[in-house]
Amino acid sequence: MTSSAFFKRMQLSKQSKTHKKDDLFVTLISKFKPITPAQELKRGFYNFKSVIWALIFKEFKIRLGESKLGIVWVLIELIVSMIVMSWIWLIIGRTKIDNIHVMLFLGAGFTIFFIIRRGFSPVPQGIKSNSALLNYPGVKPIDTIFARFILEMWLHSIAVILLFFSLFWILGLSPIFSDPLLCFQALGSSAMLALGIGLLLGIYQTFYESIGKVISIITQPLMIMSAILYSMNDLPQSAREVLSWNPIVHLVSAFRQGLLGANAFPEYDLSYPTFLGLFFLGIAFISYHANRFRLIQK
Amino acid sequence: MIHLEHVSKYYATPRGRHWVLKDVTLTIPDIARVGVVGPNGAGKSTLMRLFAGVDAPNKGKIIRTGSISWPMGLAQSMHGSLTGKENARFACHIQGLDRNKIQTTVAGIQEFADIGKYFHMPVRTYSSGMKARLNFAIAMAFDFDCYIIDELTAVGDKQFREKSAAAFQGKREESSFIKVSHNLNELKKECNMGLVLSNSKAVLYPSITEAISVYEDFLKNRA
Repeated sequence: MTSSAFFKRMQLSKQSKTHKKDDLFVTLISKFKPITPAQELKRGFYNFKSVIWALIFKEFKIRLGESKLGIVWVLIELIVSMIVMSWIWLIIGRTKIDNIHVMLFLGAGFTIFFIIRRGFSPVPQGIKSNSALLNYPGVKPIDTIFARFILEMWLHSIAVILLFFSLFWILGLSPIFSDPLLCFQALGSSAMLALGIGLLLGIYQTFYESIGKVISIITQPLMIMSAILYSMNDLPQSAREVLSWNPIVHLVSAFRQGLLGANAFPEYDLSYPTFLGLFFLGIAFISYHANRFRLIQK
Repeated sequence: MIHLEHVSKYYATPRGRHWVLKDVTLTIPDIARVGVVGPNGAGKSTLMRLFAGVDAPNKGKIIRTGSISWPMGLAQSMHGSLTGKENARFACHIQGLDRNKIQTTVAGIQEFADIGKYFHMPVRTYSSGMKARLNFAIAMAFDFDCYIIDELTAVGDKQFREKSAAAFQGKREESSFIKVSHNLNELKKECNMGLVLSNSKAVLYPSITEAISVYEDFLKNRA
């Protein structure tokens, strides 16, 4: 079609268009058919899937590329933390907390804590470190967060399996799985809370850089306040009441209860972190939707 | 086809809104080779992002048909820590290419980009010319109905410019392009329509020579 012919048809379509829909307008002047909403949804889902895969693949490549040691550290950090902290208990002469071997007890605590911690540290930075790739129309800021989250959870799962396998292999300690369903519930709630925090921080950290610095100071004492290294049952009631505002305490307790059969503390309530996670996730999606184009411009 | 209907786009600045486009309505047909001209800072890159669907307008709507490439520009859409090859693979993945086709496509990109051993090095070590070559080669590996080129050829050497022109020669029958450039002679040679962007207005002209003369008048009046 030459340009003059095109302009003639443009004029024609303009006359007929005034009361008709965009679709008719499109069919009149374009050789391509307009897309139906169903097609758009299907295409969108397919696109989402391939983008997430591509991003996960890319994140993994960069992780590997930066240093092989980095990947190794991610996998053994859990074991190292557990050993170092258990050591302290063992030197003092205490081998059991809540009637459970110290190593299993701390291992279970770190399993949950490291999930939450990833929501603070590598997940929110996903948007910023992938800003060059947002130039592809298919890649949305939220995809970078999802991809990073999925990769982190995947690496963490391997680390957890390594931890419990080596505990069984070397020391013959094995969890009793007293309530497997509760285990998964605790893990799922932790993952949800981590994603909620990661997405929320990811959005606002991109706008205000100082938030990241403030958060890193706030999260410094998080491990001590999350009952990872000790049992809530060993604390006086007044301390428990304060600490039970921290959702991680409940998640840790639930996981220990389900995996090791440990007794929960009196104020324990798993619905609190679960609803908090849902709440964060909801707020995060709303703020993402409100700011999705501003994020790309940043 | 890209159709803009009463599209407005602004950026919030400390001194109020900076309008890039104000109530712009225009249609770019299927087979059009549009040359975009405008002074620095007029918002040509923003307009390209709107065309590609990377950014969204503040008001109005944009209707697109057919597949449209991402805005090929300098240092964009490539991750600095990934090698050229990995960037090419990434693009293949997000375009949803079949797994068994990726190998051959990446090989094709390597050949077209022709940047030697740098193809296996991180993109942050590239010169701007090499980035442009790679970016262009990646986009050319896929069959888009419309390619969006944002001052990409400005940094390329003569060989690259000839190569990119030849690549479009082959695709000219099926695909169109929208090209931003300050090289008016190049636009005159390659384009059949012109778009002038100035003072928050975008006007499409059915011939590139007309657009260029309007643009030159505008520059004269301003000076």
